[in-house]
Amino acid sequence: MTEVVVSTTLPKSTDTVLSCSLVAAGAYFVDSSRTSLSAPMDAQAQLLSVLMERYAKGDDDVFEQVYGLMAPQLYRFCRRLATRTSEADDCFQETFLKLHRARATYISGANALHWTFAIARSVYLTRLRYCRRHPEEVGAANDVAEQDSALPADNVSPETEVLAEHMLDVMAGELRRMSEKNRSAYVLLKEERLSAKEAATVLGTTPVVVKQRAHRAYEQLRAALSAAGWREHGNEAT
Amino acid sequence: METKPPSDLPQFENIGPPATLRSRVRAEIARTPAPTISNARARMVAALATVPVLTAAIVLIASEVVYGHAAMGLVVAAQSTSRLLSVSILITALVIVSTVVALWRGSNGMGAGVVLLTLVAGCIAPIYAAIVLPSPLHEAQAQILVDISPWGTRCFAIAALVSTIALASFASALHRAVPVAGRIRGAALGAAAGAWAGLALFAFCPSGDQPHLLVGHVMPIVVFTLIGTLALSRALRP
Repeated sequence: MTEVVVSTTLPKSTDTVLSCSLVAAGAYFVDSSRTSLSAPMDAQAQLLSVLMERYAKGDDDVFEQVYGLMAPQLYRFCRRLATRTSEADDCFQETFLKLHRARATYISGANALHWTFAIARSVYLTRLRYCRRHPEEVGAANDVAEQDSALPADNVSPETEVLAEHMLDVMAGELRRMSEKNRSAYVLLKEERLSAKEAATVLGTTPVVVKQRAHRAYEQLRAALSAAGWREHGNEAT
Repeated sequence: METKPPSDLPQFENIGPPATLRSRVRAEIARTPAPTISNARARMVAALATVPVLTAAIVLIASEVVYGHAAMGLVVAAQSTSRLLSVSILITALVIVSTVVALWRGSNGMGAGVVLLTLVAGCIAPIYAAIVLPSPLHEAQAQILVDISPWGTRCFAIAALVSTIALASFASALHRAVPVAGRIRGAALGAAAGAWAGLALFAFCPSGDQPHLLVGHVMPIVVFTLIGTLALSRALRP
């Protein structure tokens, strides 16, 4: 079924255009070399660690800086973890509140962002358990996929732009459908770019298990994207 | 198993948290008092000081009340002094290792790894049983010298008291401190609390009767490991 959809939906020539369009529509392709990003990330992590240490000692003035450094990545993580924007907002807010309450337990020199990721996941799991005990009807109006706004594209056709947005919808939908364990492993490893060891620490498991979960999630996403007409970048033979 | 590099799947645009969320977070935090870093250290020090002192006090008082002699288990009819010494060292080592692993926060603030915690949670009771059950330290004749409760009910009660104090102290030390692996960490803390009870009973009880040792000495470790698993998870998460 996958091959039929691929061959009938996308001609070979659309690969490059689709890639550009995905970028334009709010997606980007991750650079496979970690080294290019590791240096500034480390500096930021160190700065955050120093600020968090001051915050843990009771210096409330540094909260704005802590928030400024932490919020973008934490919010992105919450949005991938939660299935709805409102839920992600609540998770984000509650995570900061718990971070504030638990600041006295921050270990000096620890990676504050990873620690906060772990708190965010704990918050999300608590909410998930609550929702399972108190099920309610959820509308699709606030789905994450619908909130991923597209940037204007100058050099792509409306068709490919629509197709690119469709791919993001497929991605978001598939992320929602997969298990929380696979989703969080995939997001930490593939989107937040943590190493398997770091992700294992955040998730409270072993690196091997994290790799397995992320791999399952990756295969699930790839299958869904392929079924929707997406082909791997650079794979001209398909 | 290696997962493929993330270069071939589209990823979502980075969307920062909205300004309204920032003001909500700030307002919530302004309303919420939070302790500073010194409180957390004080709690840990207090826990590490309280447990040995109270355990020793309980053993001495209970032994004086029940048998009319302090630390009767170390006095009455041990088969040999060298064996008494070796068993003492083994049980003390078990207590120290389990306590350190269960309470360790690590350099990243997320505590010991799940493998280590699982080993502590799963192995403390069997190791303790292997030390005390196959060849009991005290001679069977010791039982005619003192009034030992049948089936170890009195020992179970003393073990429950010591374990409860230890578990409460440990939970207080790690209160809201570790966001990951709450259940298995709770189990390890329960096992460590049970190990303290095992040490207390080793000093308190001169019984060489295997059913008594199984019910009164080993069973509390298993019970408190289960209690830690079920009861502590929420208290440990921020």
